Amino acid sequence: MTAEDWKSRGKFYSVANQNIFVIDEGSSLDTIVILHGYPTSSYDYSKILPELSKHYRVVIHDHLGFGFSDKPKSYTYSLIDQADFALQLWHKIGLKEVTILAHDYGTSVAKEILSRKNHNLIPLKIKRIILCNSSMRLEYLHLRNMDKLLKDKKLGRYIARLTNYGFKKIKDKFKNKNLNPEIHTNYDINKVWDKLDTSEGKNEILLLSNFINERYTFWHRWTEALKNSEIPVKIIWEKSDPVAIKEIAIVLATEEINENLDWIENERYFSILENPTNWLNLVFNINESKR
Amino acid sequence: MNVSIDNTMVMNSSDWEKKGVLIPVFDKEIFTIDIGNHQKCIVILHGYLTSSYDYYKVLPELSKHYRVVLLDFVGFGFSEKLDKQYFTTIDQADCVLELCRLLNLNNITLFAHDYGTEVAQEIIARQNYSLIDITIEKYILGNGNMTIDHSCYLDYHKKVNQHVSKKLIAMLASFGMYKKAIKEAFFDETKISDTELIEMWHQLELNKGRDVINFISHYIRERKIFWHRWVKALNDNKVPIKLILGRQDTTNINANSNTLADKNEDIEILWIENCGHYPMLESPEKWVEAILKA
Repeated sequence: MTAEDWKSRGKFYSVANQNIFVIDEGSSLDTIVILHGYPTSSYDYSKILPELSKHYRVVIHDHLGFGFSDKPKSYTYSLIDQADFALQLWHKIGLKEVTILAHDYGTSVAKEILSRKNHNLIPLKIKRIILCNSSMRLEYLHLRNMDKLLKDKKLGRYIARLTNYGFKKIKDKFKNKNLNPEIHTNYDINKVWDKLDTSEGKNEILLLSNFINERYTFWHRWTEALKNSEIPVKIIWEKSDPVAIKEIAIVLATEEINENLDWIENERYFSILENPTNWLNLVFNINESKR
Repeated sequence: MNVSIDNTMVMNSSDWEKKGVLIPVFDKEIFTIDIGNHQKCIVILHGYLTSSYDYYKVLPELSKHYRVVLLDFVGFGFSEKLDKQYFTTIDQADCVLELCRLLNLNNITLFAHDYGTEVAQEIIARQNYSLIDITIEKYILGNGNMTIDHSCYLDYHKKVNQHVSKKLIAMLASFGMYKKAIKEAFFDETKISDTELIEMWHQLELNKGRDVINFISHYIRERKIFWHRWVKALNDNKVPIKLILGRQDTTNINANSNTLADKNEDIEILWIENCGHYPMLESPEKWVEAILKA
């Protein structure tokens, strides 16, 4: 599917005067809302959408500053802002009860929403939360040099302009660093990058990458949110994830955890882009072949 | 309206403590004073390294006109102090909103001073997005860090933040440094007595209040992260915002507030002349008059 096809499947909602791109498919009464990762977009889910939407109403939006959503210039996007936008959007669409599926960057947004839910601040009913591939304990994260440079305010400015690097970075992430030899999606990667390239998306990467600082600041708030959650939370862990290394999992595993937290180790690295069918089976027990 | 307040009596900490109760909010004990039998209600958020005690002079007069709700933030005054974690501005805002809900407050006027203005700006941001339930009718902000520059977070701001952080860290070092910093914030240093300062320091030291891990570095980082969010909140306000400012405040740049009022016609400034960073302690009568007028 091309990026343009994807765009034509969705529509735009105006939230606080910003256009947010939304895919809303499926007629089930059971709704799943999806918070995508960094630095990609709702397009990540193009392969699983046809199957998932047979079982659920699926609502995916591009975070502000990502994908086809507006990219306001010179605005530091905070994860707290992203949570606000998601909540306003879901309210606008009229969702009353949802399951939240979040990836990577999106898991931080999901945890902020969970904090607010625990603090009696939102009326939205949340059935359960599914967190995938998340660097939840960031102090154990081994940032690669390039990530560190991007984080640097002065150098990052120039590095973000080396646009070609960004493409390579995504490609590396998808291709070389992953253990799955099947991946051949140069084509897909191109499209993801092209989208990042729209509305001067590249300039925003720097501002967007601020989220690393936020995860430090809100570490207690969000760990507490998980520990105090009254909503079932399912965490899908991937051992081979090059960013969220296994030490993080070990630390989390040895800590006292709420009985509502459910751990699944994604040993074979099923990913939504590489093996969508297996991934759906793992996360939702949806098995295409059985039907 | 002329307000007269006896400026000579100093209240000690334990008398102040008796006026309030500890209310559990998300497992944290929040010291709260709730006085005055009126429909209209004012919630007051104090500043950094002080507490609700800042308002002991104005409370009797203010409670004749308002139901007054004063609270100590988590980590300050008589509230619970956490020694192993930093309690973020976002968490403080959640607690304030939950406390308002627990006390069943309505038609709220929110007054915030210093560090409290940042918590207030977070609440304004949420209200602009229609994400809170309670009705806040008006915001009154005192001397604080109202950021108004819409441009990117610049190196200049970094310098300001570094300067601020040096000053704030120094305040924690000893009573002498604390006293010096608070006194400097006054236009007329004689308006704050050593007895008052000792009471304030006592509250700060209570329950290892000085051991808050790395408060300043987290706080400065937050100011950076939410720079745009909070600037936007003040620019997109849906309910009126008034500023009540001591004119001779050396700790914050009043020019900022002028620019803010120039840019946004919904925002109005009431100046208190010959007064520094703590008008509620330095010119309590004028402060109460301004609140009633705002």
